[in-house]
Amino acid sequence: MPLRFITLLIITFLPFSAAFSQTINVTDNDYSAGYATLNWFSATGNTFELEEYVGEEWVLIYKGQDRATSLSGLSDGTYSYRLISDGDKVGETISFTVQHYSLKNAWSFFATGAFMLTILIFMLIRRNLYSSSYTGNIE
Amino acid sequence: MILNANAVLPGWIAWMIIAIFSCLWVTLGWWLGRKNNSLEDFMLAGRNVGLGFAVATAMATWVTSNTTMTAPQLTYQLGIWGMVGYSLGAVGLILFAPLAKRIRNLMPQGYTSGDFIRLRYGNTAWRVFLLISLFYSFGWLISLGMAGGLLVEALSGISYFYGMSVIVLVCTLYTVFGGLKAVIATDFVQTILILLGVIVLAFLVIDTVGFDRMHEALKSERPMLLNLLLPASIMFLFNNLFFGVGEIFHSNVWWSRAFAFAPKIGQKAYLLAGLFWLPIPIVAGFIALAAPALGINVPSPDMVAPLVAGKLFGLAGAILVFIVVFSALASSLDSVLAATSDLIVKDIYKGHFSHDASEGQMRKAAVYIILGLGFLTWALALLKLATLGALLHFTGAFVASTIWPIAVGLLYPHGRGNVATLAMISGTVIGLICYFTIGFYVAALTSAAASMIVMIFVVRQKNCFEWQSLSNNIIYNGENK
Repeated sequence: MPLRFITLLIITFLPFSAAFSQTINVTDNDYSAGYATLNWFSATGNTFELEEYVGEEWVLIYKGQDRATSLSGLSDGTYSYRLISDGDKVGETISFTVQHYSLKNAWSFFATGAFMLTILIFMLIRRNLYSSSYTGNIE
Repeated sequence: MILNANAVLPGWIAWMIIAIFSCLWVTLGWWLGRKNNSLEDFMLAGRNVGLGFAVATAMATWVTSNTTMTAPQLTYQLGIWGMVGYSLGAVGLILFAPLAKRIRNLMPQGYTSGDFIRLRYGNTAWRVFLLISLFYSFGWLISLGMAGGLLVEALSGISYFYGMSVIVLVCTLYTVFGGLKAVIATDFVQTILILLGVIVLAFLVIDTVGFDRMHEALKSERPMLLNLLLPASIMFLFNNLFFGVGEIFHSNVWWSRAFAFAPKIGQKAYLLAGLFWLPIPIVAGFIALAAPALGINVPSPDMVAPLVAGKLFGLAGAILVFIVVFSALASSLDSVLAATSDLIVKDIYKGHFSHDASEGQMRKAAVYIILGLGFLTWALALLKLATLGALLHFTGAFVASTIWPIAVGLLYPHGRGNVATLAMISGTVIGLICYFTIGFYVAALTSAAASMIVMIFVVRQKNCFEWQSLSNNIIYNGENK
């Protein structure tokens, strides 16, 4: 993940990188949570069609004048998209892979949170009940 | 670049709504500000706010534009647990209730959260705390500024620049005129607008779209949003809870209210505010789930709520959403401006640069600082560095590290400044590492966990703090110790 982050930074800022020749760009993405935003700000045209490769064919998922779309709720797998502008395909096909975290990891975080919350509530209730004994005569 | 080509609200209506409410808030701010006779009036509304206004201000301040726009965003990205997790932000208000009572009892003449940290833990911990608190405050201010611009753009197509600029300017002005009194009074009105608006919107969504249609569309297009075992969402649940707890426990927005409420009001007010706030993110988030069923394209996830309302209810819905989010935004922007200004005036201006500053000088400094904060907010919001959710949760690593130092510091006489300082620093570092290596939905949780592990060492230290030292009036109004 850190390597991916650094790589993404380099790709984004290198002048001759693929990112600058890509028509579709991916932003605000978290492939481990199943969401990403695709934009095509640099594309010319009036009406855009975004297609996703499903099975063995391209399926239309958006048609209109907007220049971005947010995807979410994606299951594990590889997703490919292409853009058509005013009837003509533009730019390269873009692909990414969604791989969710394991449930074991997720439950570990959940358990940690539940434990900390229990301790905090216990502290607050217990010390609040005995507040007069440790505030001195401040009232 | 305008993302949304299908704006529902005509530009002139958007400007008219902004103008009407802006005049209302600024006039109210000016009118209430005439009655501010002292620094205490300006910063703490005379320390005598009653229960009704107390509940309203706590609730309205916590219903931010993030609640009405980020809750839907997180629901759109993380599904059912996204909105439930967001509503766990209410736990922060509820758990702060007993602390608010304790703060008022321990520090009847206190002004800021910084006062407590300085006296309880010493100067080093105080400075680390100030850095965290100010960083968080700026993050919150920028997200609020951005939300204003995004709202106006999503609904009316008016450029982000103009919408954001006007909203930040208006909120800055009435905060300058009226101080905390204006903030609390406008919060009361804004609470009513928010509650009514959100309830009406949710009811209309269910009535117009229906659960079945929403479910079918989600199942076919975004199946993981319905999955209660979506790992990232499970990780998000307690992360958001501790993010909220960290925000409320440390931020001067809540401490200033604890000082401002009349005696014996704070605990009840925060408890009630938390309970009333709890369903709002669920209702707001629910609206986002209608987007696939309606075939709405969402160019940026933080625009999903206004887009759904606009598509579903046309002009009337867009106006309603606009008023609700504008109210939520204003009610929080003014609070953060006022509280951050208090912290800078008291803890940085007086605490570090001008120990002998008089009340008049501090009052004047407060005005300049609010104006300066407003300008910085505008400038940084203009850059649009990230989405609302990402920006907000970045600060989670910082604020969650303060939970245990504050809770232990208020409730136990154990614990010296060096342990508290280490807890805040280590929590922040661990939280940031996890933010970049795992995701935003674990940053606050891991930060709080690291901080807790360090604070465990406090238990071994002997009693070392005299509570009486917090109540001395000279400390807050005389020379800084």
